[in-house]
Amino acid sequence: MPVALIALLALGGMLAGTFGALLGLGGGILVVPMLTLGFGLPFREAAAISLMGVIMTSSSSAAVYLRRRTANLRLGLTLELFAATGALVGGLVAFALSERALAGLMAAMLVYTAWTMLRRAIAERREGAAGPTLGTDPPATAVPPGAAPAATAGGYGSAAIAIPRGMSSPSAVSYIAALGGPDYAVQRLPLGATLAFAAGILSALLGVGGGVVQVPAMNLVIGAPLRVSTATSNLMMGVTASAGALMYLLRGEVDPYVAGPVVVGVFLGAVATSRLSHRVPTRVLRLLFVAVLCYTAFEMASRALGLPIGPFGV
Amino acid sequence: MSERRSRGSDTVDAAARVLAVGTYVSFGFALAGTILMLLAGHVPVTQPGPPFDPARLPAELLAGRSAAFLWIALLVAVVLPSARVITAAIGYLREGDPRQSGVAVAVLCVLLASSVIALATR
Repeated sequence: MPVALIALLALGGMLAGTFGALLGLGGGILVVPMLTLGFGLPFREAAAISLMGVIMTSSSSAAVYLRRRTANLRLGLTLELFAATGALVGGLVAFALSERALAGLMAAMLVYTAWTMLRRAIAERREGAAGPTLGTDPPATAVPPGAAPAATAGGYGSAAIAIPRGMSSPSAVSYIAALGGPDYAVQRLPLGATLAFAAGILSALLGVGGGVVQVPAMNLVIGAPLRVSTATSNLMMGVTASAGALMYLLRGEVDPYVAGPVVVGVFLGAVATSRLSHRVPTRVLRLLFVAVLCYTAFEMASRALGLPIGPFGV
Repeated sequence: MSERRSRGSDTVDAAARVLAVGTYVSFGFALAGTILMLLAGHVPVTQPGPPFDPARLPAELLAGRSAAFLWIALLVAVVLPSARVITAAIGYLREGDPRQSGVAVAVLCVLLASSVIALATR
């Protein structure tokens, strides 16, 4: 019995880590439904354990992205200030909301993520090999921290900088200019920071990484290339998740006997995936994942509405 | 300029090293804790683990209790991003960029506020 349960938790974590790493989601989006619907854990406890998994995958992949200079540390730190503040707020709000309200929010988040993935799949089909777009960039997979970094592409803050829109103070302009990369300038930072704040709230509230909000915010609003946005979002997830996780941990919402096997599974799944991801047909997987998300959203919505849960639930 | 860029690279590399080492340490403790839990016959989900008690952690760790290993793993994981931010704060200060260092310190303050609020409201 203990062996089977521990193995199931680790296996579930591994599946979540694998899917999350393959599709650039960090794994959190699946750990919460798995623990609440599959193991009957309270939502807040599941969110807390999920955040631990998010921190592990974020830290392992961020180490490699930093060495490769794909992640922008300066931009990440600046946005983290807002994302961590959002996580603090989200952590407090989570304790004020009922389990059913949280399940309803999770269902909405799952539907939104499914919709985003579906759009990516459609965009990939349309664009084929036409070059990187929001839908075709490789996902942020967790990588073994010891992996050899690729050749560096130069530091950040050294390029010819365009003056960001809406910024007039010389001090602010020089600060924001230093956040840019070798081939891009940071734009609309206030809006990007607001979205990072929102991502932080979502992260702490639902136990997810927040990349679903952060990546488009950095890519479409701030103007960072998608590869940089994905890597920097991965870097930021650690701080955002730790702000939320601290709230849960210090309030006694984490069960170490559940968190341990799940964290081990998530990490192993994410690391193994980084070695296999290039062999997996991502588009097919993405469509399969959309189906899984829709089903999970349905189960979560049922829980939110107080309806009997389907065969997956306990 | 080149010296400043080189130092900037040092800061990024140092942050990367902190994350890499910390991840392995956390994973090692989590794996050891899970194996000890299995050997001890603890049933997760139905038998909740002991609450987090920092005062008893060293003694329980020395006694080889699975929960202590798991708590250390979780603690290392939670403080790892903060350790990376501290590394960045020190690095940017040393490379003569107090403004970026200040932003890192502000992030740390928010994380500290999370802990204080969690302790005050539990």
